[in-house]
Amino acid sequence: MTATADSATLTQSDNPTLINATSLSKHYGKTVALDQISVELPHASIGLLGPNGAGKSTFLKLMLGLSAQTSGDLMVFGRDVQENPMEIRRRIGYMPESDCLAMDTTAFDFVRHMGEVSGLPSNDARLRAADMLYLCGLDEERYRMIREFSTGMKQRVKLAQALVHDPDLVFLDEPTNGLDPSGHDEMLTLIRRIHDELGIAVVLSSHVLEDIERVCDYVMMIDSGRLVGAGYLSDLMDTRQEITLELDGDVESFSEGVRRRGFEVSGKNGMLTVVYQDDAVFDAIRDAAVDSGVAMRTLVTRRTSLEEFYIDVVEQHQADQEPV
Amino acid sequence: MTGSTAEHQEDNVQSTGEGQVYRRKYNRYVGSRQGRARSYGAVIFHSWRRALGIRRKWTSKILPIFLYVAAFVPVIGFIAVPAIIGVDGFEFEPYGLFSSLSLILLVFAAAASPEMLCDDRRENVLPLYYSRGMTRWDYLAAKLIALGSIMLSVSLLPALLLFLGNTFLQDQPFSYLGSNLDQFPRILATALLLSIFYAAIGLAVASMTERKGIASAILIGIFLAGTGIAEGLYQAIDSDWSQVFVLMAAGEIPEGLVQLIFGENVSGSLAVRSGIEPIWFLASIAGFVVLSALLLYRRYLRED
Repeated sequence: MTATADSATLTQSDNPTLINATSLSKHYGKTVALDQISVELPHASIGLLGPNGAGKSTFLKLMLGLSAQTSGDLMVFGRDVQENPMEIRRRIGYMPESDCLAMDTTAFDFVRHMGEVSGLPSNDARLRAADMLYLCGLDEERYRMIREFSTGMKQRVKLAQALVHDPDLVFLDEPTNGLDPSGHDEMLTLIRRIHDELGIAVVLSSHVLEDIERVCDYVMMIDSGRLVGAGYLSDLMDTRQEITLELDGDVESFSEGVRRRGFEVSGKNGMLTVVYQDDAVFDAIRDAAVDSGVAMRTLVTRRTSLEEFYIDVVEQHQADQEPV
Repeated sequence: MTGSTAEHQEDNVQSTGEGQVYRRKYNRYVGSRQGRARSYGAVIFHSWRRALGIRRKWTSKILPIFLYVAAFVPVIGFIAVPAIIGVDGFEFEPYGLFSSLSLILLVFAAAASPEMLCDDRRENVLPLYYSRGMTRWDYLAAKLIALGSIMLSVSLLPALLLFLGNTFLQDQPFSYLGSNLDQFPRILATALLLSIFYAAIGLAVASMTERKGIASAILIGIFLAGTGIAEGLYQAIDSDWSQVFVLMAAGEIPEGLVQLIFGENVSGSLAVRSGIEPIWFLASIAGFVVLSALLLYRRYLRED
């Protein structure tokens, strides 16, 4: 099911609920950072989407237990974040958006230290640090000082420290920030692997829609602190298909025939777009074409991009917010 | 090797008879997770390494080595010289040592406390600690333990060494030990209180800035300039309540504490000349520690 209001539920029953927010609000003084968010997020690769200042980082902070909500409930792994913050944090990895690395140390020492802080014995932390740096593509450079690293290498160290203690869930806050095109591509591939091959649930916070579309299965959209949509990308996209038609003949009559059958149609000069709602639209197009006697040169089904969907949803939300 | 490490390797190692092929891949971690105590240990050990310059460039090691040498060499001298030249019954009292150690403690605190906090703040590492099994309290407590234990190594060990040296320089060491056993808790209490005092103020000052040099300068300024100002005010204002200025002078606290615990006057100090009841210096230490704790609370523990 697609949620475009303030609630969303799972569409795939094979994924148990990972995160469950109920009427979750967070206020900083008079500023409302999150407003009555209710959502259930599955064990998946989840995209947290929204413009800067939408409340994504606040939502991450609440899930990590770094900040307390003003009202509402938030459960991670089925446990209340406020009541069991330590238990939850031990199972979570976090890669912040901003710089967070000790420059005066080697990548290996830093990742190992973070493993030890997470409770791993020294020997195990050492092995895991080496393995994670290898996984993140920093095998050769692991004994170099972090201050000598490029932005892309630092991002990889940040990812390695988030994985060193083998979390069940990892929060990645704008992981592709500052990366060049090839580094950007490699980082997204790595994130996809974390979920697909390693079985770790991912919450990827980003304002780059292409990143979310490429890496995530499920998306949660926030705007001005409110949930404006949530659901599996495949479900969201399926409901946003369009059919493009190229016609010769009495196009006006054809358009009227499609509308009469309950479907939206737009365009001119023989190039029309019909909004897909369900497969009945194809019957409507066929019948309208027969009735109007048009010649159909092309019929192409096109999926809308996440960007188009997102813009529609946010614009709709902003229109709803404006006073009448 | 821990059991978990063995399991980890077993999963990744293939024996070929003549050697082993280590297969590097991501494995779910099946070893032990040691919880909060391990987190404390990791932060304390990491803080020691930073403060003492271990596994850092050689320039970071110079000051800690120099300060340890400055703390121990005089004591070794006090013990070795009488032993070599054969002076029987020589004794240098520990309370006199604390007076000189207080300056070393100040410099050590000025050097080590910024290493404990400033880099973590400047480099924004704190969210990584807080997002693991560690609270803000845990982080600060670990830092306090780390700095306090370094301070204790400078304040307690030289004094203990001197006490032992005094003992073995006597004709009758066991008799001396028996009659001076009360010195031991006095040494311990003085070293402990001084360590807490310097560590608390050092961390509080370091929490105020991300710049290590500025933190060091502020700390030294509080002790040296603060003491100078307090002495000036005490002498300028001819009143009974002007003694309060002496209690506000951080640099006079060690002298007052020694006076309280050992019952001995360290000549020339303002703490002695002011005639303040020594017990007030304990209250003054408590005041400084509470003030430092409030500052740390404001900087670290108040959420959002």
